[in-house]
Amino acid sequence: MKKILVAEDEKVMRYMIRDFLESFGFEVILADNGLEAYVLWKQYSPDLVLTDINMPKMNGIDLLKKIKHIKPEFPVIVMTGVTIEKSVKLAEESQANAILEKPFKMKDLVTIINQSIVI
Amino acid sequence: MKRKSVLILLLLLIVCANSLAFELNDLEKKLLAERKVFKILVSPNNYPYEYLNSNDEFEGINIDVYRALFHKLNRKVSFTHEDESIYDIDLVSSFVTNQRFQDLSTNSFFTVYYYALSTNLNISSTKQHNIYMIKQDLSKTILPEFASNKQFIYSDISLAYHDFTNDRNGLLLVDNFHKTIVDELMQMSNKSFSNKRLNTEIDAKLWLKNEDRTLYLIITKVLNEMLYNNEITCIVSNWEKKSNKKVLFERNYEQFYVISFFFTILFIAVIILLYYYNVMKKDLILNSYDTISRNKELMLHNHDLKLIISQMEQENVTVLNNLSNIALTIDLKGTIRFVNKSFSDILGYNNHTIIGTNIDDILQHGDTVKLLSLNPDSSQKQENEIVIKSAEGFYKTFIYNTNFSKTVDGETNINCILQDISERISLDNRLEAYTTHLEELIKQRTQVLKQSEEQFRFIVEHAYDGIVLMQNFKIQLANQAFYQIVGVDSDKESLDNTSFLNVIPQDEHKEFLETFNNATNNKEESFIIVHKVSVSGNKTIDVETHFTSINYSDKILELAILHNIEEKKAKERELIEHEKFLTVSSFAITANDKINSPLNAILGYTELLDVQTEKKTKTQRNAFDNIYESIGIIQKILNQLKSMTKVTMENYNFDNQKMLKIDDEYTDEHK
Repeated sequence: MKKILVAEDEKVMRYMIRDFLESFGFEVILADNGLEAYVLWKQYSPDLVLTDINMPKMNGIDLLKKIKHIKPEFPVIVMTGVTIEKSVKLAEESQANAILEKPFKMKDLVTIINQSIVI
Repeated sequence: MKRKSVLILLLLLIVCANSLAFELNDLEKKLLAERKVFKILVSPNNYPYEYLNSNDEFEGINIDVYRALFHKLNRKVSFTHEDESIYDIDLVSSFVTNQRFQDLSTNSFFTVYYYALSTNLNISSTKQHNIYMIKQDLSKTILPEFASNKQFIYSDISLAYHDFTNDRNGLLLVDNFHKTIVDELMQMSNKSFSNKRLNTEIDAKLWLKNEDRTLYLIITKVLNEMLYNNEITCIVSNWEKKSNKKVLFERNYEQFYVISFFFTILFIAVIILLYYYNVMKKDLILNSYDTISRNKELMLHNHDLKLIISQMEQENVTVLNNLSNIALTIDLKGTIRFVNKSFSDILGYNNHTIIGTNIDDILQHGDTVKLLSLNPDSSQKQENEIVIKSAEGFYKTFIYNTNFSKTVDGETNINCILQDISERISLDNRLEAYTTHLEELIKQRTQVLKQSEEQFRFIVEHAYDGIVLMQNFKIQLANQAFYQIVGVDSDKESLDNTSFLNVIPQDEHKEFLETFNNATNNKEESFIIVHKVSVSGNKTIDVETHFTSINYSDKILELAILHNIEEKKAKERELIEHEKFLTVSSFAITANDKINSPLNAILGYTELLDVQTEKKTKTQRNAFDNIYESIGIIQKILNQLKSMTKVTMENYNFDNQKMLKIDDEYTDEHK
């Protein structure tokens, strides 16, 4: 069973993603900020990280940079509520595997996750 | 045996007689018990009664009486004479001439009578007599009328008698003791002279120094006992016998006259020879003594002088060592003989090693000759300076003063006093350099000031800010910009000597003057007032005026720099509008972001339900479609909102801290 680490500060969104991915057979680990996500990533060694950009304590871009610095090939999918060119550019520069603009369809998310893990 | 027992009995009788002769009461015994030795003051020159013999021992009739007296009392006795200390004496002999002791007396133990023998029958006080006497100078006491006459005192009665017989005015003064001898001499020489017993008598007595009644009684008792036993008579007769032996010799004198004369001549010759020999020897010795003592004095004097010189030298060295200037002594060859402490302090040389070296080694070339030439002309300042090389190799300049001195060995030395002026020269040079620097600085400053003035003038003339110089609000000078601000054509109208208040709207005068006066009363040198000024067409503009008090041509003027803040205010308004826009945009962005997440949750859960509901009714299908359509509509509205705030979004910082917290309550409710 593949482990997905979800970093999202919005509680409802976080639980919705968990419920949806679990129904598709994934094991989901939840974190409500970037810093907690980084600690859990090191602790549980998940197969993929799904992170929002705007989060307290540590934002999604910084989490992405830290993970890629340690494991450049590790798959990270970035979600954003506002498509700001600057943040998108930073995410691209930091080699995010995919950038999803909210609201997105969960089926599309599952497809991207499956593609990223296979890769 | 019988003779022995008779002798013992006799002795016992004598002892008993002596012991029973006088009795002492308890008080007298107590006094004697307290005193072991008694001291008697006697005359040192009163033969045969009391006198000092050749061994400096007291002898005489009285002395023997005193000794016998204190022997009876079993106490020791010592004698002293007037020249010695008389403070601790107990008793005084009557022959002591000091009258102050003659207040108290004991009983006299014998009396001395005096006889005056004269070669001339008439003894008269008006006539000059030559008085001959034996040892004792008693003429004042015995013959006070002849006290001023010429007196001859002899040690021997026969010699006195001999000289007396040959003097027509002679007067021989003898006591009864010597009277018998003189009588015998007269008998021998078949001569007779007038013979008169004098009224004056002297009693041999023992006086008490103090009124000690007990001691007086003791002595009286003992003397009475001695007189009773004829002991004193025995003592006197013993002395008479001694004197008679001398007289026997005198009796043969004439029989051996020729022999005596011969021997006398011989003796005199020997004496004269001895005298001359002694005199010569004495002279020689005296001369030697004189020379020795003179030498001694000279040596002492010399020693004293040496000490004084040594002290003076020491003092001089101390004084020289305490001098801040260098003291230097050199000989005529330039060899250093002395340097003081300042020499090592200033020049760094070791004083012990430098002495003996030549001054030329440390002087600059030519300065040695200058120094040896002595006493330079002080009016020529440069001639008075020499340069000395220090131990570190630096050259130091000194002014010097010199003089000659001669040593004990006769050598000529030159004493120099050197004053270090290197520092003064250095200071002079520095001062000169500083003066030059200051002059240069003044030149530069003057130039800068000129440039500043020109720049200031240029700035004032071409400044965008209005600049006004005024006194009591009366405009003295105003630049072009001021004219432009207040909308007056400077070519047509001059604002000089008009009131600055004229450019301020009437209704603002009060507020402006209050602010101005408050600032000046608080002695603020510089302050800013924001106020309005009237411009053409009854319009006003906002200006910010910077007031400063300045001195200008000995007058205190107010410099007012007016800055048009209309543009600034417009920019402020624009900035506020922009801020408002940014706030709205930020809100829109935040709202967009915060709406998108729950919207995505709704979409996600709808999808989940849609997936999980395999067989849907028509109503359920319509409901899912309606939800998806509604979400699409919301998403379109959000996209439109997003496009409206596009500009803001480009600069949007996605840092969460800057996002507006609009969802706290919402989130908390759903938690």
